[in-house]
Amino acid sequence: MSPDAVASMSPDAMTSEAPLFEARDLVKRFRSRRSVVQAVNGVSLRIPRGRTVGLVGESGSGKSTVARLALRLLDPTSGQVTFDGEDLLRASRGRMQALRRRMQIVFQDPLGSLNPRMRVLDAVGEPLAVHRIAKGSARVDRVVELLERVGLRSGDLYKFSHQFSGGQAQRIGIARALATDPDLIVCDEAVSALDVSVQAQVLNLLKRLQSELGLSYLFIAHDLNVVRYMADEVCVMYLGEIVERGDGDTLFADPRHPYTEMLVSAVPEFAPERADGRARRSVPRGEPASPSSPPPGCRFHPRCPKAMERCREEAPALRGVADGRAVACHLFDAGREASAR
Amino acid sequence: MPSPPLLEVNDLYVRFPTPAGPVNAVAGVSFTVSAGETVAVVGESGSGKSVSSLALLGLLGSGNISAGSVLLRDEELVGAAPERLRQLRGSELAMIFQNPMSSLDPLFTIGDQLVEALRAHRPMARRAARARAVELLREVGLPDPERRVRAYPHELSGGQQQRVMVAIALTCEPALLIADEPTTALDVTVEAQILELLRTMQREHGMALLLITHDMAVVAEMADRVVVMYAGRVVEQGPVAEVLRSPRNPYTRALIDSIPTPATPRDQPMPAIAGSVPTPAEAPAGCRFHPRCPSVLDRCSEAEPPLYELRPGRASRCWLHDGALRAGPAPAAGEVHHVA
Repeated sequence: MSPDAVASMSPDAMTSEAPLFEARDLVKRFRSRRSVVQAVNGVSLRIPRGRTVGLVGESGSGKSTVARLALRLLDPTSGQVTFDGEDLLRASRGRMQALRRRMQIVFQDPLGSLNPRMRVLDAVGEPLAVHRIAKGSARVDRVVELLERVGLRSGDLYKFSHQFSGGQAQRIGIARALATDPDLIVCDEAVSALDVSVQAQVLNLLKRLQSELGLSYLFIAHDLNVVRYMADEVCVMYLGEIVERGDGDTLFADPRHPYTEMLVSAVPEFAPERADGRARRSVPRGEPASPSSPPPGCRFHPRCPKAMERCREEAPALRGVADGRAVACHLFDAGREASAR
Repeated sequence: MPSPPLLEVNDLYVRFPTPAGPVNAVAGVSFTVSAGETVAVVGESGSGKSVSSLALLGLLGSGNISAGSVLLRDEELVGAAPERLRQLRGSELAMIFQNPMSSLDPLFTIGDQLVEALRAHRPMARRAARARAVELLREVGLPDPERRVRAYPHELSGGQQQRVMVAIALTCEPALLIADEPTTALDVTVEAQILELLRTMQREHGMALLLITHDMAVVAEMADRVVVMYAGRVVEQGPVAEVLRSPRNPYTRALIDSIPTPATPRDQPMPAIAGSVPTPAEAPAGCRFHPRCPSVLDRCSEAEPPLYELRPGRASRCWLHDGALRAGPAPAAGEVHHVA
């Protein structure tokens, strides 16, 4: 499919076509000696081809665990993961390795995720060797092509990662992820450690690569503005659950879940053209509970200004409330919508 | 007639030895902070913003300050005896940092650490200090202070740890609180709470606040005046609303434009600044921003522009302002890095 066709796809088309990636009811519990941490509790996601699904949430929300489950770097406690129609959890070792060529990840700390003793040629070319895609001069040619694609030069081939700035190192990380010609790239806080002036460059690069190569992204970040800019659909996570999902713009303009509302209003308003008065955000109350002892009922209820009796006992399910919009909140159960709004 | 500033930093140079020779991490930085005021120093990595704050606290070792002066209520801090600096850090000056866990001692309860801080500043019975510690924890909004006073740092969340740091800073009733990226490690909902706490503490205790940050949104929310730094230099300063609404320096403008907001069009590329932030060792000759500047002129690579005073309290370092009044000494004077 051409990038243009992808861009003109309607939200309806996003849900009807078979997605490249789908996760259903993912649950991941980590056991330690004294407690069980419920990192992810029933998360479902669909990523259509050529599109970006964004995951936003605070620390402990489980978004990075979802990233690892998506690539089967971790096995879920329960749930299903399919990639291009194949059940990842039933895939054999060999099959999994073949599929991994098509699914890659870019991490937050580019210098930390690159081997400092490897030259760029080897760092970017390693996946080519691992998957026996190219060797010798073919490998060098392919690495040069990848470097140029991400805005680096062939002259950088024999440098070490520490010789690069954070932004350039992240370009190396992206080139490495592209080496196996993947369909899906998981970006786990991929721009969070970068300076603002460089962050914009890397966001632009990711978008350009998406339209050139038809990539799908699972884009994870804690910065709501960055996720909104990148994603076709934004999922808001709280304590291991998706509490709301929808188009980023409408999510921002009209948050439905009380947690989304809290998150959106807590983002500092930065609108210089309106900076005549002092920008003030509302101050949320409380802090998230620990994922090892989530509250019963709705996990957000202890901090929720609209909590009802029922929220203490019964966990709300994620249900559609409008076009492309779903919310997990008792306020939006059938018949309640009118009184909640 | 404005009151004389509480803190006056004048033409400060901080130099570090490197294998390739000495490098100025901070070069000719000047700014003031008045009593009760909030001044933000904002910059990206390598701008020298944190180095400046450490230098004026006397935490870098005097050998690294190669020129300039730091006056606190007319008392010179550059070259002051370590004992005197330590005294000032426990009375007039206090600081909080990005990572509270590395400022707190993991082996002692937060109560112990508050009591120690209280008793270091003035003679106080242990029991009275304990009571005051609980009071301070309540004041900074730590839930259940009577119980939490016996907690160890690791038993608290990041936001709660930062609240404890604020409480420790308040033990000496400082005239100036220096906060270096106080919310950078925190989630956005917790960040809003800590900034609110800093504002309340400032109002109730009449402190001045020097806020070091990379985050323009935090600047917009907190500061009265802003000092924008790039590669060791002050490139623009002025009242926050003015600088954010109509930045005069091309770097400030480009930086503001590259911040994603809810209004950024999703179907267009973000305005970005080409290239990367130079480290102090690789700062280019001429204007340090010129290789990345959209408004670059021929002369920008040849000579560094001075800081022009556009009007009282508003300054920008750019040749575009040539003809305006100069706000300080020409940068060539004392500029060791480029002469070498």
